[in-house]
Amino acid sequence: MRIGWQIGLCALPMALAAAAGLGPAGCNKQASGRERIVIGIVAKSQTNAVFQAAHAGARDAGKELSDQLGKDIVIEIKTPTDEDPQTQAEAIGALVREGAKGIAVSCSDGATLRQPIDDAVDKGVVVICFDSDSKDSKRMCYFGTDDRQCGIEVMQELAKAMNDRGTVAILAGNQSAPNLQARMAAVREELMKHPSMKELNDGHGVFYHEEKPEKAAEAVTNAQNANPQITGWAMVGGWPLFASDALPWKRDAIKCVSVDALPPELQYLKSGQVEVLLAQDCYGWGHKSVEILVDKIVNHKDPSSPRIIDPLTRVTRDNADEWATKWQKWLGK
Amino acid sequence: MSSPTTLEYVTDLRPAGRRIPRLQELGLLGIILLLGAILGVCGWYSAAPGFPNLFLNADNLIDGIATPMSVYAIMAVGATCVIITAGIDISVGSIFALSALGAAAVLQLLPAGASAWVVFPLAVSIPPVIGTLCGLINGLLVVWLRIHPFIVTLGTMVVFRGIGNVTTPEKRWPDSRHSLPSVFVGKFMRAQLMGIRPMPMIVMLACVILGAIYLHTTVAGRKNYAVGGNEEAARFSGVRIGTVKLLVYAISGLTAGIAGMVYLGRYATISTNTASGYELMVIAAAVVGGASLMGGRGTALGALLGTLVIAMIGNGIYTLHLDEEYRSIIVGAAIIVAAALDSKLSERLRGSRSRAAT
Repeated sequence: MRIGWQIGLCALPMALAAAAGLGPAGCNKQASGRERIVIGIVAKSQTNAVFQAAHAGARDAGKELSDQLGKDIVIEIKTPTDEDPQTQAEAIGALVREGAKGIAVSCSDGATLRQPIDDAVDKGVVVICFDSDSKDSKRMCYFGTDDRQCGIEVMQELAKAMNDRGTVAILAGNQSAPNLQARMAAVREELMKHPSMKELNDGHGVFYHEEKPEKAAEAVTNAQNANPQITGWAMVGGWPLFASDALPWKRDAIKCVSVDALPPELQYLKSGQVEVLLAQDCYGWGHKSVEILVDKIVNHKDPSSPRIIDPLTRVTRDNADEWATKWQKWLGK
Repeated sequence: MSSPTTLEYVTDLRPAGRRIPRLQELGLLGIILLLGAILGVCGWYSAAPGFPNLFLNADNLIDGIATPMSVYAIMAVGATCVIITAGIDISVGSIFALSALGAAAVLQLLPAGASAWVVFPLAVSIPPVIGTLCGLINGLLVVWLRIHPFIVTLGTMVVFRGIGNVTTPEKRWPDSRHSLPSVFVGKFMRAQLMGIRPMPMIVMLACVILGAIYLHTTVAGRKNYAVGGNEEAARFSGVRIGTVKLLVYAISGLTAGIAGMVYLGRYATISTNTASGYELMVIAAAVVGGASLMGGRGTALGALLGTLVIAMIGNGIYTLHLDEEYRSIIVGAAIIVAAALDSKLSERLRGSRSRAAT
């Protein structure tokens, strides 16, 4: 009897989940009679707003293409809650076993995910990378930002804002993410072209942190307080700006240029604490990735290039409101 | 209520041939079978046309459950040894990463075509050695400083992670100029046998078997239960408490090093923030497997089964097509239920011993 209670209690959460999963969303049997194509999306984390936009783009693309092609394009989002390449690797494996025909991945760690991506491709699944590449893998193509060009543009905009002089610090996020490392290196490369500007502490001005808004804000605040000589920030990702009141300086006191222009970040343009936001097409990461995959799977059409570069959009105080209306459409925000 | 005596823990008077799995493991086996049945049914129902049962297929059972859980199960065996002594080690994730970083830093210096006779001895020895050293440091600090092990291992968790960061310029090995020997990449943990990659599972089972032998058949292993059950009684019985504790932390570090070796062999790369947060899952697996945080209880088999329960629940998220957010809720709920049952069972056991003593 005691064993029975133990078994029952421990299995209860799973049984409830099973009951929930066996609803219409969990059922895999085709009801419509149309060909069913499963496309998996594995972004870095659910808690990062840029990937929430990508998910929205993917879902919209699935609906649009289903209507256009007369097929059931099912978008399975298996992005982990927090960044963890092993969880992403397991998600890729699970999608392959489920019968996904295409997978779009933003790699938390391109080297770790190389093997799982190669295994998926070897089993006939089309894989592309967006935002963060695994360039040594067998993925079909990469869609996203040219990280080197992104870093260069961040530094060019910052140099303009700082009138070509001052001390620069770099906010660089996850130190093992290859895309962020590429951007950071490009910022440094461009900085060398401005002789009256220098990196903080003679080349030790890069600050890494967990890619969470509060951790990023903490990194900026601590760095600025410890180094009051910083007069400009090059942020290769907009993590601290996802939170309110994250920057410890007043309007125009410190110059800052950041990547990404999500709705919470636009307030910093209006407050004058940030000069320019270089927006990546986060919604397009999801939408375009699904388009590329479906084009290959259905029409057997290869992408135009193994690297499809999405140019950045410059967002300032002047066009912040216009950019905000795009978000209302993309996310209903 | 009298405490169990040292003798009750040190001597198992049952004849070896008539030993049966204890109540906790029987319960766990039942849970695993029931979960397997539920997920098997759901897996059949959820399978895409032309595809096998989403849960009950060899690919999923090996690649989806056994292989990913292997690193947690290996570390859970070591964590169980520590928990049996009423200690705790939350530095295992950092030791895991540091061990793998150390091995990768050395292996990447070998030529791409280096012989297996050179590569494999290094690959299997460096991580366990680093792990054991880290574990010994933990043990020495716990024993000499007499600080609570949670505080000690909290500190070493940060220190070991920091050592990994400082000694790894590009924050990962191999770095951009090197690669690991080809024999390591293809023929170590990724070696194939009949279409599956059994090596992580084999290493996991070996660790569980060795852990079980250590805990149940060696005097040193049985002393862990004595110390965890009643440290003062064990001290008065002549058990060298310091030596016992030093040994279990060394074992915890050793298993973390072995887990790091398995990870490195699977992915052929390691970064300085790998395994952040693994310690919580490892301790959860040990507790679900029957190890009591009060000390005196736990088995290597329980560590394996506890890890398997959590791994099956995690895999079930995919089978049931649930959003990833549900993983935390369901796994957390299972851990709370297991801990509650552990507490009730401990009370009943103390009560029955008390009645037996009077």
